[in-house]
Amino acid sequence: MSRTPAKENVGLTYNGVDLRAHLNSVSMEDVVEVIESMTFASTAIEKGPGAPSFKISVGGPWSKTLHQAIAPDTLNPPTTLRTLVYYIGPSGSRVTRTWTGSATVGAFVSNYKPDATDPKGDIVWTGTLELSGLPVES
Amino acid sequence: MGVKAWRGRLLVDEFDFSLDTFGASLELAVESEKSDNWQSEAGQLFPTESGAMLTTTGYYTGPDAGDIYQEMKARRGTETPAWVAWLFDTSALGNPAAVLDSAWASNIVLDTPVKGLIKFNAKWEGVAYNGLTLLDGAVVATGNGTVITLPAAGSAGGMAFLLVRAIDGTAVDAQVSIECDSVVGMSTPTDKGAIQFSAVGVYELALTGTIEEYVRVVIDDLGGAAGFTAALVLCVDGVTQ
Repeated sequence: MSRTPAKENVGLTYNGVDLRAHLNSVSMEDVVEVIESMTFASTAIEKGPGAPSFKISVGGPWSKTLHQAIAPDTLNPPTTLRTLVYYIGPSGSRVTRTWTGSATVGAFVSNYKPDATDPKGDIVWTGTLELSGLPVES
Repeated sequence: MGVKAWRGRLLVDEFDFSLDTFGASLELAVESEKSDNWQSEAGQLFPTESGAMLTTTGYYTGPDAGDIYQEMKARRGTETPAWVAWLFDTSALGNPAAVLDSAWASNIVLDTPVKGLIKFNAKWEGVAYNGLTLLDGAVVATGNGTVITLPAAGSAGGMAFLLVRAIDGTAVDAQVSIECDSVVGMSTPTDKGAIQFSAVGVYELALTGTIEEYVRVVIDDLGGAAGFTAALVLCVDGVTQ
């Protein structure tokens, strides 16, 4: 079985801004609510799946372009959620998830942290992108 | 190429503590409210309130007025308005800057490693503004400043912060103003307001209405002083914040 390197094979677009050049880590959580459904008739613990929820943790080198794309949304959160496109895999065997921004579906930034704690290094950043609703997968 | 951390500037009111600071991080957080509903196949969330906290780390240099630890300690828990600004990249004008208005230190931790230097970190609470630097450094003459390009024009005003760090001589009603225009040549600039000052400190200017894409600071009057050193951060609603 072949393996897929992350380099050049992960993409993230937030509100129309391609963030790839500002990222060196992207971690997507795809969590399904676990519902305990055990009853007195059960012979063992029973659990069933509830609704899924999604969240993306990001980080990378900080820049003015990145800051302008993210910071305003953390100071004045948008009332219409932002469109977010996330993909993994090379062209031809790629999984893409798209949250198209609306009042109920889309993305927003719940945490944004520029960090300059190493005076000999570069400014870096971390952030959390909250995702509302179900994406369209392709 | 990344942005070097050492190009940052930390301003606490009129004090420039960049030489005694070696780290900073700004945390901008937005509360997430669950907004699940019937017919929703997946969890739904909605952003509500935002908040900010700035953490700075520096070296202990002494207990006198003007020393970083003393000035930060004086603002610990204070209800006296203070301003803390982090200019992210002083290599050029027009780079981002964050200003905490009504700032106060909520937590100061002294770090005294037995074989190391005395250091401390301070956590700052306040109302966050985000903007671009239009001025940072010494001014010795009247005239127009560098034209800065905003990401877009704004229509809802904004706020400008002038942090006057030093005055060479005596200034009486020195004045700087902010202009904007829709063309980079600033051929027909619009005056968005002026700030007058006669002492070091921080001065605010609320801007209203349209702020066009190209902006600059104008040094109108030195107020009789030989010059002054200051930073000006312009924050435009709907554009930079």
